[in-house]
Amino acid sequence: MHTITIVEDDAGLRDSLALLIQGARGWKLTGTHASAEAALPALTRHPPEVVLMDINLPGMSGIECVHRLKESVPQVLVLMVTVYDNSDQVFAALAAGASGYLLKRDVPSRLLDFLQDILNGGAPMSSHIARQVVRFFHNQGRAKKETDDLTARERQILEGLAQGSLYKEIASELNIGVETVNTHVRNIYAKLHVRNRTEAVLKFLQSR
Amino acid sequence: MSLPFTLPLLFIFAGAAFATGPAVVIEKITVDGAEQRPGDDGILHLPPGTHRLDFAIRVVEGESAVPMRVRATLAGFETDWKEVSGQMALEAQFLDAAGVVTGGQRFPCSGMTPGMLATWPRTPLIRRREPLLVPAGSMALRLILTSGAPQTTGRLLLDELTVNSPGGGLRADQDLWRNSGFSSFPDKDQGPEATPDRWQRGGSRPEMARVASGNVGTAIAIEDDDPAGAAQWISEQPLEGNVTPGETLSLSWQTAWQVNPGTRHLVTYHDVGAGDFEFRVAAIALTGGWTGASTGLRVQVARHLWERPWFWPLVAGSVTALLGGAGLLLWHQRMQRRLERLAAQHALERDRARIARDMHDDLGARLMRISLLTALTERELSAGDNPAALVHTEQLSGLARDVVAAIDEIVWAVDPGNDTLDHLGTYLCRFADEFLAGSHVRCRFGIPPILPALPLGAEVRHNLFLAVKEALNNILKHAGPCEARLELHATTGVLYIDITDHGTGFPAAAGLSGNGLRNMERRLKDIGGECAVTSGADGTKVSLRWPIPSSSLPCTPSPL
Repeated sequence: MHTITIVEDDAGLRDSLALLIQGARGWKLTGTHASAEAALPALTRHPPEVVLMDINLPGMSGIECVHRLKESVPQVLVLMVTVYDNSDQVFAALAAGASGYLLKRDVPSRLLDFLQDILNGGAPMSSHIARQVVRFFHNQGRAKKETDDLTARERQILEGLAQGSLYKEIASELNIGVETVNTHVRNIYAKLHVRNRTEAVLKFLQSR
Repeated sequence: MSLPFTLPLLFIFAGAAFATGPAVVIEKITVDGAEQRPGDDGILHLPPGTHRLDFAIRVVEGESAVPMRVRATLAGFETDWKEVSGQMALEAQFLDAAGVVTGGQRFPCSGMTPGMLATWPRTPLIRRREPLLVPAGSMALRLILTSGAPQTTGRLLLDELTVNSPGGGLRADQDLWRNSGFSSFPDKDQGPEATPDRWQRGGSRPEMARVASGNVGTAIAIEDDDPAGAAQWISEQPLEGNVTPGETLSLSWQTAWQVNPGTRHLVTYHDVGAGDFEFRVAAIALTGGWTGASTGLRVQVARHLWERPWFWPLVAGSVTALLGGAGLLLWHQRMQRRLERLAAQHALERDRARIARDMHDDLGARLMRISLLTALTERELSAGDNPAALVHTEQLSGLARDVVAAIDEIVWAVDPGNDTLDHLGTYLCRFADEFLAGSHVRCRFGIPPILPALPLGAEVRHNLFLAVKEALNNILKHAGPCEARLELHATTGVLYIDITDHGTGFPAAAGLSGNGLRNMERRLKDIGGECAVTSGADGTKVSLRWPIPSSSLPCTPSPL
């Protein structure tokens, strides 16, 4: 059984999500919280494997919550859920350490597959997020440590994703396995995470 | 890039300012093409609707005749001050195999560099270094040293130009640009009229592009003394596989300039809707110092009861479909209350941000619950044996999804945080991704990750988006299984969006009379653009063209 906790401020939505998880095979709901402030202490003390986090929370935002959570419990996987596909917010959440995001309207049909994929080490990245990542690294310039910059291969993969290519298409074009593409994308997320002092992302988003 | 300004120079400018009293005046105000004057209360009152405002500005230099730069802002409409006076620039453009511009950047020069002298030989040069991202498909790099708009005069010098690839490991020191020090001249004896290897002159007065000799050897320069002409130095060199797309090059050059921006300027604002604004304009010294010369004008645009005609009907329509009459009544009351609050507020931008938030929080959460509950019901029903109920819940679930998607579009369209070309690019990417997900159409993108910082009003943005959506919908309906391509680029004052597919196409005669295509044409016409559709055996191409108003061209902060 995999453990999962929900952080969602809308009571009705929270209950519906809880029902959905409880009815799913292989998952155990370990808690639900209405705010980031209430969730943080509990999540830090008894971290579940996965946290389902709303982006828009009253008080501390879901993005800030991911940021703090990943600092104290780096191994926890966070899946952001959002009503609207706001690229800027989603990008900020991924830069703060979230492992993926799902539109709420896709929750009923795709949540369980998505969770399984993330547990298996999948690193999803859609074309518009890839664009944001390219721009972000471009604006940030060179890192202090060379290892924090994107490699040529990683840039190639981002380019492909931004042009709408699928992982398997990129894999066959570059003559590597889909798993390797996944690993590269995971590394890109990790570098994004390193380069993201929250102010850097905010400044970047404001400059657009 | 910031440079220390010279303090004594600033004092001279400030002193001159007080002695002679420079001023900046609004000479003429044009609203939607017709001249207008402020009312007796000194405020420019305008009827409801969106307006195009043109302010003709003149700088009175005073007795000292010291040139000044001009900055302006429309408070309440934008938050930044824009440089409205002319700039010279170094422009970098990447080209693909066919010579089409794939992307690029402009590095403007305003005011003057420290220590500018009347002649070049001992003028101190500064070094500028700028990152340059290589867009996909780039085969060549073109550099243009330009004296900008005709009325701009002044001098700009360029030397020791290098392009290298810091990310390229072994090639870090290798200069990708040939003849970077301007040492190779086939006709060196021609003096200022000589032409360095690989460079050529351009512009309406090409002879103002000259060769200068100075303390570091020879360099290229533009000496523009003609307020009705402009000159350029242009060079294009192949990249020849030395760089990979997505890589960041480092462009570095030595330079000095003194740009005299002229005294007459036109500031244009498009799509100014209801609200209370203040137009402010100020003259500043070439070095960036304050001259004390400024003026302002209040502008009030009356508001419609329904601020955006398409906005509430669309919301009401979507909600009716889902919640039926009773829900509509409740919603209507809420809307009325909100509208009253709307009317009380001043800034249109604030309104739009708030509406987006409200839609997001209230309506979105409720619709989501409906969708989730439906999914749960579906699961329970599938355990029993009630196929009819199962079909209905599936339909309900689909309907809820569609409504959330429709609201997603509205929220995006009204949120002022999205008012740039780059946001349009990002949104089109994710919209196409989602719209075509699970269909027989695969979508590829040719949208540069780095787009110019071009402001795009809600109306333009929304119309362009709806036209693209229409085109994608046509592909979905008529093209059959195929690959589609969505391309967007902004060059030479025009925004290009092309949607191509390699499907079965549809008969041109039947197609052009179709509602969808007429809609696209109307949408583009509404915002002053054009739409062309070509369809053949090998697919269909929809080309959207929108002329970028000159006032919304990007204004990069000057280096001084």
